[in-house]
Order: sequence, then structure tokens, then C-alpha cells
Amino acid sequence: MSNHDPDPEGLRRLETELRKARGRKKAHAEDRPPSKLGIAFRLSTEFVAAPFVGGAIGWGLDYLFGTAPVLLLVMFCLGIAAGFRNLLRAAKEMNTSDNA
Amino acid sequence: MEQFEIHTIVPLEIGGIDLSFTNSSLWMCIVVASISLFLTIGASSRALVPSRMQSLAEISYNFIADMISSAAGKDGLKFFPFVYALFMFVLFANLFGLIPFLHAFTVTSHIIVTLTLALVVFTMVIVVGVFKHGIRFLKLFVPDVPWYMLPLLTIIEVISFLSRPLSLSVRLFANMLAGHIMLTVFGGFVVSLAAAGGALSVLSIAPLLGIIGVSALEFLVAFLQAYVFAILTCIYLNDALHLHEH
Repeated sequence: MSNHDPDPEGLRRLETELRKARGRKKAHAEDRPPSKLGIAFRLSTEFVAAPFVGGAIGWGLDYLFGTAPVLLLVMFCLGIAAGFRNLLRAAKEMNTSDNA
Repeated sequence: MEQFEIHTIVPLEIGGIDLSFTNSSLWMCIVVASISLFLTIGASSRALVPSRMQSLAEISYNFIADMISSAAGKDGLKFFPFVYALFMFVLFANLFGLIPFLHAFTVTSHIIVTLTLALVVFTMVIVVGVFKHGIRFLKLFVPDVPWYMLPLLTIIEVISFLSRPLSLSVRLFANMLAGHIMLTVFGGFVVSLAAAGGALSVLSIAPLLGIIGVSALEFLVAFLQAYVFAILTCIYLNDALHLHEH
């Protein structure tokens, strides 16, 4: 078969076949849950990063205002809260993408 | 460990800053060259019935295009080149790190590389958000809560937003680092057991089988982490494009 003289009838048939196959593939892909390992790593890093960033901000502010270690502790706690916020948001995203 | 060491290949110093061409730079160049080669070969024939290379290139294109339109909507497709380049770079860097000879170097096993990539994404999200929404971009940090909760929750939202580049980069870097360390440790077991002599030498087959398993797992992780990096980029772009609509 040559690619250079397309036969319109055959092409149309190919197009409908392709569309059907794509539909099948899509349905199949949505049935499959995302990898458990991926979920675990995603959630753990989402949670751990926030307290670190919070602590770092607090440390920086302490250095600026000379209030060590008050702001470090406060911002670290807020960081933990932000970590939970990240965790819940990530879990919500995973739920919606599962059902979509 | 030797596999994570940076060697200078071509020393270069400009204005007191060490800009030497290292093995890390070399492998980044190899990665970029391979991606270009892969896509050039894939796109060269333009056949209706694709060859294998063309199929691979088309699959990678469709994969990213589907990912963006599902995670960031149709207007997210403007960022296709960015997300595609990011995905391919991370994927190829991860996979090339698994080559057991040639002194292969895993660029993504260094946090400075992944953090830079993550900061590019982060900056991009802010620029896109401010460009598209102006000052209203700051509404991203204002959750729908009673007024007396606002100050506290706004701080929490800001920390949560700022933690994104860190979690994005640490995830990729830690995965690659852990995998390679695991391979090294198992390899060490094989050598020391085999050298122990007698019955212990026979046992050295166990960590060897372990290495085979871990290597297979590493291929999965290499792909998975590139995927996670790309999809999170899409999700963050979605935040910047659509603010609270999602």
C-alpha cells in the first residue's frame, strides 16, 4: 500500500476503526487505578515538604527580627497544618481523577 | 558513592564562578541530543502507517497532550511544549541513569538539578497566574472561610504554595537516589558474599536476583517519576489558569 495516493473510501473506514479503537483504549485506561507506589510517594512528599518550608520561613524571620526561636516554632506548626492541607488536596485530586 | 560523583571534564571559570563542563553537563547534553534524535527520526518519515519510531514519538505526543487537557483543560494545551520538554528530559535522564556501563550518570539524582526544574515550573506558574489574572491571582491564597479564620488560613495556604517546588524536586531526587543506592548496596552484598567462600558464596545468588528485581522496579520508577513531575506541573498550571474554579 502506498502512502502517496490515499483512497478516500479506505481512509474513511480507517478513521472510524481508529475512533472505535481509541474509545476502547480510553475506557480501558480509566479503569486502571494509578500506581500505589506513586500515590504513596506523592502523599508523603506533599506532607513532609510543607513543615520544612514553614520552618525555613520561620527561621528566616527569626534571623530578621531576632526573635529566635518563637517564629520558627510557630511557622513550623503552621507548616504542619499546610502539610495536611496539601495531603487533603492531593487526595481530593486523586479521587476526582479516578471518577472522571 | 562513585556513581554520584561529579568530575570536571573541561575546566571553565567565568568571573569567579565555576562553570566547568562536568560529567553531569555531558549527560544532560546526551539526554537532549537523544530526545532531538528520537523526535527527528520519529517525525522524518511522516507515514500514514507509522514505523516503530514514529509510533513511539506519536504515543509520547498523545500521552502528554491527553495529560494536559485532562489536568489543566483545553487552554492548558498552550503549555504543551513546556510540559513535553520537561517530561522527556526527566524521563530520558532517569532512563539513561540506568545504563550499567559507560559511566552513566543520573542527572536527576542531584537535588540541584531537580530543584532548578521545579523552580522553573514554580516561576512559570506565578508568571502565568499574574499575567492572566493580575492581582486577582492572590485569591489563590484566600480560602472560602469565615473572616476570623482568614489570617491563619492564608498563612497556611502561602506555606502550602511555597512548599510545592520543594516537594516536587525532593520526590524526583529521592526516588532516583534511593534506587541507585539500593542497587549499589545489593551489588556490595554479591561481592562480599562471593568473596566469603564456602557455603556463603552460593548464597551470593540471592542478592543478585534482588538486583534484577530492583532494576526492573527502577525502570517503572523512572517512568513513574517523570509522569508525576509532568502531571503535577499540569495541576499547578491549572491552578494558575483557573484559580478556584476546579
